[in-house]
Amino acid sequence: MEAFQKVHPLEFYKKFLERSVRPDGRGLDCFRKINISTGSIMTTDGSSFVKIGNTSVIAGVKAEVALTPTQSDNSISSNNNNNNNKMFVNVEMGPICSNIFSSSKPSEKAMSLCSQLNSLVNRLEINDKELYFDDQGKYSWYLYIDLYCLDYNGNLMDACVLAIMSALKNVKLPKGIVVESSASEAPQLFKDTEQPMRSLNIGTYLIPQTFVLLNDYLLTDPSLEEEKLSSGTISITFNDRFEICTLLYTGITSISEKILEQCLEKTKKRSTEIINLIDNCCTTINNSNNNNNI
Amino acid sequence: MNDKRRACLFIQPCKGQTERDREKDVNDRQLENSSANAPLILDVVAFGLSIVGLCFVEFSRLFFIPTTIKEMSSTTTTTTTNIKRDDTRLSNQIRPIESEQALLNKADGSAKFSQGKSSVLAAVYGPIDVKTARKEKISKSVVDVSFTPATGNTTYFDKEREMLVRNAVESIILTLLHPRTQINVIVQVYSNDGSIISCAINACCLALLDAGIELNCLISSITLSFTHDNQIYLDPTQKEENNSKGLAVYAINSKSEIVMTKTTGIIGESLYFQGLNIAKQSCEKVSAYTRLAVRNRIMGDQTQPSTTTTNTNNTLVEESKDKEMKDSS
Repeated sequence: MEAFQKVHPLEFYKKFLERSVRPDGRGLDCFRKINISTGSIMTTDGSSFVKIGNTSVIAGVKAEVALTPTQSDNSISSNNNNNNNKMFVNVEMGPICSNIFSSSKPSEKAMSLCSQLNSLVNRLEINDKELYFDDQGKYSWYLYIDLYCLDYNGNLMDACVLAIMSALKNVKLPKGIVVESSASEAPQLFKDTEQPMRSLNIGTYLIPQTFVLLNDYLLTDPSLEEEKLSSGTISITFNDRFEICTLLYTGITSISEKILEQCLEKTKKRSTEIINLIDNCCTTINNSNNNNNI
Repeated sequence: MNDKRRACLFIQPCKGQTERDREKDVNDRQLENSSANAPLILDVVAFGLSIVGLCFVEFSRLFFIPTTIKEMSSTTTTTTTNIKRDDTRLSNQIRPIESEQALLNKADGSAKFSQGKSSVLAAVYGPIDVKTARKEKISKSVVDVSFTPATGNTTYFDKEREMLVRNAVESIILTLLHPRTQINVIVQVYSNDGSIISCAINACCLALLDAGIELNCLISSITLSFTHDNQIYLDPTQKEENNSKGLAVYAINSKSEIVMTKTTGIIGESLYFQGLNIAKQSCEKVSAYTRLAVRNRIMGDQTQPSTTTTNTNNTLVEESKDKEMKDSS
């Protein structure tokens, strides 16, 4: 049995898929269990740990203060313009998560994922005012979101999006005080420790869902082996108004419009579950923090 | 380099279409296009501009009148609504396409593809030995794409583009024919004025054809930008990309199947599928152009006096464009 799987992986899968089941026991539309925990890294300003089956991603947010750039007229809410970004995502996929990656240089997969997530993080609709350091907004917080993949078993896109969402929900920013000393010297920045830390108001939820096409079967939430054997990958991210934030199809075979529509439908159906998941993980953490304080 | 012929573009216009259109200015054309059941018109204004009696550059202007666009802007059907674009294009018009093949000596195939000011050079080597043994595939050849931007180092954005181009190109190459080999595709951007991924994919297709690599069909790509007031612009420039609400890149093969699609920004679901239909129509035109460019290179240009060129320079392109502008306005 195992030999058959190693020698003819595609045939092996076919035998299962004909019976609408996958080798790991899931149905074609079934996804793996998602675990999200937040606030596990104390040295960061916000952190989260996401597990989808065996795929695990840890995210940490680092906040830095810098002068707010002066807004120029032509760069309002632009799509590709990266000048006004206040959040930066970096994805690390080292040899710890899979033997296909080397430690020397970042893999193509990590880089393209990084690029997608960087444009996706701007779709979160976080108001500029949320990131003001002082009241006037002369200085702002810049958030660096670092994602480390610890175990790679497929569907990294979904894990990363969920990790970003939950890490940002976990971010606590102190209020700042700017003390202008003199014209020549740079003003001094202090954190106001007396006032409570505030958390970010995130405008929308992102609902990610990845599918693969394997032998004309559409598989939800693929594992690494399924991704390797697949002929195409569809990644969809909706916001909570069901507008498409990312729709990426790459693969060596073509895809029909019908399957695309099917995928979009399936993603929509899952939205409430994902929203609950993110909300729950954040509320439980808040409660536990309160308990600790008491 | 005299043997390297310039692939000249000439798409046969509908009978009487060209003369009629040339007499009208853009606004008149607009009126005509917005008439009730205007079919899909392939409007071609081809120019041959001879410089020092040697060089020929030809342009085509492709017009698409999908009904969807009309329906969307029906609330404000004044004649000027569609000409909102900075370069006087209509929302459903792509920039003049220009191409040149076999301009590199060493490469097995090469092509330059320009859409307006976006210009890309693609070179193809292969099938050759696999350089890194761990990449080698037993049953098929490996397609390796490297994407180099016009200025600066390759960033992770370029790596993503590289991945998109590779996926699109790999889908049309018959990789099973040459197991344990590698096909290298090198993409060098000359100038980036929007729709650069589409331009790169189109260039790769032409270069692969030039290299004589077995393909199962042609591929063409188009970028659409979705504006904040729900207009769809075909083939956006960099400025239009920056000011858009969403962007979608479609790569569609000549069987009219989606091979690669990628969106950024926020796009409504129905708009996306509207865009898909428009993309399918326009990709057909780009494929038609590619076919013609290859045919003209191999069989010679029968419609125009055949000329050979040694090189093309940018000034030439600019001048002819100016002429075109004057002509249309």
